[in-house]
Amino acid sequence: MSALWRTLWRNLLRSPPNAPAQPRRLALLHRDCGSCNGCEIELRLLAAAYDAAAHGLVFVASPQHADALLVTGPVSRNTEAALGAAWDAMPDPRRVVALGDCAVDGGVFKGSYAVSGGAGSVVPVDLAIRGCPPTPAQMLEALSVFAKSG
Amino acid sequence: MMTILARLRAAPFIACPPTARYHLDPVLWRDVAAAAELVPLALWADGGNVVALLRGAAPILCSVAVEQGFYPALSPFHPTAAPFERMVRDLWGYVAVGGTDPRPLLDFGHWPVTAPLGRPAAPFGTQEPPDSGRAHRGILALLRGKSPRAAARFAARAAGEATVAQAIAFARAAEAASGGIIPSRAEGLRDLMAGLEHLAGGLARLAAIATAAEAGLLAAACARHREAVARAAGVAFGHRLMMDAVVPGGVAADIEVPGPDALIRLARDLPRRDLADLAYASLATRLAALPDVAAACDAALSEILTQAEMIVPRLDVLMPGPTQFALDPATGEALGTAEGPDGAIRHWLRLEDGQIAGAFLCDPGWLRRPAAEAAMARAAPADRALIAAALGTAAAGMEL
Repeated sequence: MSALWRTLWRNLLRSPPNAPAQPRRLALLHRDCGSCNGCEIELRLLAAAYDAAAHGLVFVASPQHADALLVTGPVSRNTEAALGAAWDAMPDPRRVVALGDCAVDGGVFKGSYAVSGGAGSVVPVDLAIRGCPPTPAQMLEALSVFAKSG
Repeated sequence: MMTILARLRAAPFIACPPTARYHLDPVLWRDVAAAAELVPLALWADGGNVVALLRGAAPILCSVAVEQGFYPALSPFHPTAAPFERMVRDLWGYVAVGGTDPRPLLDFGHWPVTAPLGRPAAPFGTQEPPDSGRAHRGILALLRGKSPRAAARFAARAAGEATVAQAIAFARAAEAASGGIIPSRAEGLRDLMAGLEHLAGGLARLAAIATAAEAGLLAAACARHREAVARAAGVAFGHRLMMDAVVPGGVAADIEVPGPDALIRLARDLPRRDLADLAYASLATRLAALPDVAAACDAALSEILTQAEMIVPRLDVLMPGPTQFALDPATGEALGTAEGPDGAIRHWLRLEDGQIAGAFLCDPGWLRRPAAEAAMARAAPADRALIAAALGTAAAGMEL
């Protein structure tokens, strides 16, 4: 494609200058790493009752389509390898969100023989959202800011 | 000739309120195992014994001594015992002789220890990736050596969708072992919380069925009402899922001041007929061919309608009074049961001077999961997601 075509194409895609600002899209790949399901309950409500999509937050099923890895659970030893594999399959730029006290540092399960102690023990964490579980409103606020900062 | 129950009842026993634990010799254990009417509801180990909870007219506990790491298997007679035997092998290192399934369930060679609750065993080779055990967090080991009060937060996190029921079953076991009776106001508040959790569970089940059936309007309606339940629970009990609101000895805190009003408003605003009409209109064509899913849908709707109706009566019967008592540091064992959104939750505790010496937390997932997997194996591939949504349970509760 010539440089001229590329310029035209880009101008076609660009929003008019007075259009309302669209939220930055953040594609999230959720990995449950031994959660009690509490974070998942609130995460499902974030998607279904808080209109997460309108805030640019979408959930994807494949690492290839993800901007950020969303980890719940204390990262049980049995999930370490699968979490690392999901991270390795994500294209750059890629980020990690630790959702809930367990994913932040192991939470109440810290020190157990069966957990590695949070997402940070396997992947580099960019955003920690505390709470047991965090509420959907807390998730929405933290993830919206995070989406814009990317 | 004595019946098997009469022989069992003639065995030595120790008190385990509300039942007793009969300690059997290996021959009697084997005969009990072979009795078709005594179906195992749970199996675990404690000290040098393996303990089985059997379904009789009332639940019966019995145990057998483990000899050099071995005990007679129940799984040749009762297939539902097989996953328990795999778990006992992984956590305690005790092997069921004659067991039907030698595969690991929780230990895939990734832990720094083998048999974390028992005697070290020959390790399995590391296996990738495990198809179960992802939610194993070592809860039973974390309970040990703690007071029931300090350990309750682990029981409350065995399964998030049933956190209230898990906490009630755990508290009831601790209270029965300590010989205490909770104040009537605490019992009333527990009923209220458990009812809200059942209501939320019914809505979550219906939402999952609707999502799998691509009934978007119904899924959105369920999510909206589920959110309303969580909000009202948050106002009333300080936590949207009511996690840690039930403690051994009673409840952590009394209902907060705007709480009763929030719950009355919730009960008033929850739709009754509308939701059922929408559900049947949205799902009718899919339900016609899938009786299991139709039954789950009926059960969820009936749960939603019943629990919504019960909120105000449960508020009305609350009597003023204390909301907890201090447990005596006791020695003894007991069984605590509570009905969770997915079925009966049974916790067994053995206390020594008020500290937990042995425990097992039995989630309904142990019995539901094999049934769901069997139904999915029979079903057409296109129906499997819907059947999983209708019959499945989260893994956390049974993987401990």
